[in-house]
Amino acid sequence: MLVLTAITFLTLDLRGFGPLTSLQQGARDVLSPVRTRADSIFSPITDRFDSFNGNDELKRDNEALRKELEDLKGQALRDEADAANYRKLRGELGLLDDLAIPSVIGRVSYNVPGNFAPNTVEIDRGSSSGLKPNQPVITQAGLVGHLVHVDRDRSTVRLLSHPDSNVAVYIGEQYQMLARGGNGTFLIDAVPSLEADRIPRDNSLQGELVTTAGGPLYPKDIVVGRVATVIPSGEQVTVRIELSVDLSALDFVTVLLYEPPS
Amino acid sequence: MVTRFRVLSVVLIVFLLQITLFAGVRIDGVAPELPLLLSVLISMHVGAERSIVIGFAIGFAYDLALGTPLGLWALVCCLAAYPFGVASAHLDRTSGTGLWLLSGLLSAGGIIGFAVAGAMVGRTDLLRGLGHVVAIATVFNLLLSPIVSRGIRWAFASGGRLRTV
Repeated sequence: MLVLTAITFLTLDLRGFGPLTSLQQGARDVLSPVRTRADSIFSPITDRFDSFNGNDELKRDNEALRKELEDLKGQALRDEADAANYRKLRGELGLLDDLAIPSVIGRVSYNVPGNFAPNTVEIDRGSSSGLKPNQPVITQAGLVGHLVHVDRDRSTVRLLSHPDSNVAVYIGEQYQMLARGGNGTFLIDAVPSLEADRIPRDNSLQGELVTTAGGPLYPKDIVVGRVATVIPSGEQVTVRIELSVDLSALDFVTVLLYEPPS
Repeated sequence: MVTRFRVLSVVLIVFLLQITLFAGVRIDGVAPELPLLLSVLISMHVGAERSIVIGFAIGFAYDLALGTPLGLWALVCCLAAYPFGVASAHLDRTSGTGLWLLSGLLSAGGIIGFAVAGAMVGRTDLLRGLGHVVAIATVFNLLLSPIVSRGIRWAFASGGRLRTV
């Protein structure tokens, strides 16, 4: 009987049955203050384990330097993206600058409970800060992912490396493609969609800037990364993209309170 | 009444440790799966039938806290608890080591079952790196098993059945 009950819950949950989602969110809201308090109590122990796992203070210092480097890299990529936009004469309204969108900054935690939440992180901001599911998350270096669960004081971010991440992107100034997360790597495999025939099969796209093409999840012109390699396979072409953000060393991120165009 | 209160306290403490302390205390990125271990070890004291109910409740609470598909851990915990309850009833005189190893085996089986059941309902991402997770989480569970077991023995000491793991 209980096995059947569990299977029924599972089926209803996977079909997005609202009351179960609310129940789950409510439970996490109740536990959130406990977790926050426990984090501060257990931090000496967890820090020691971080050190045991190789995440010592030196590494944290390196992360700060890496972040600075990323910021500069992101700035360079954004400059290039802006120049491309001007060349295309999109006009002022077409140039959607992420700074024009209200945003909330959150601190990242990789300590997501359990073992089955790969390619996700938590941030210490939730619905009380105005966040909603599906809002895009970025850093100065570029796109990070989007919010999947938003509790009162915490949110879960699905990183671009998650297999269920899909992003419509522009490669350079010509090709619009659908990119998807890789197998836990920090690359995206992109499968040509509308313009598959026009994608060059040599490596001429290598190094091209990749930006978001806009849509229901992400605003236009957020830097995603650069083309790493182009791999032709039969009639299909796979374009591997190196992300501009190091998803394994996030500290602070910005959530864009983006409302997609109706 | 005292036993129930004690059992509830132990379950609550272990559960909270899992979602707080062991969110950060990991070995090579892997945490133990204490709710699974708890379901298995409690079954030794309550019998196979009731262990299903307790396993379901613990697993369901774990699903609520993690945001995993609701019912998935509940299904796994109750199915993992049952065989241990049956085995412990029939292997009354076995050594503690035997039951300890069986709890490790069921932990491994439960984790694999969770990932496979998740994949069957479309969450194929749960299978990624499964071997690594199973190996480390099982060792972690085995290491923590004597401590959890001691807590459970304390809870049942006021009237429940008592066996040594």
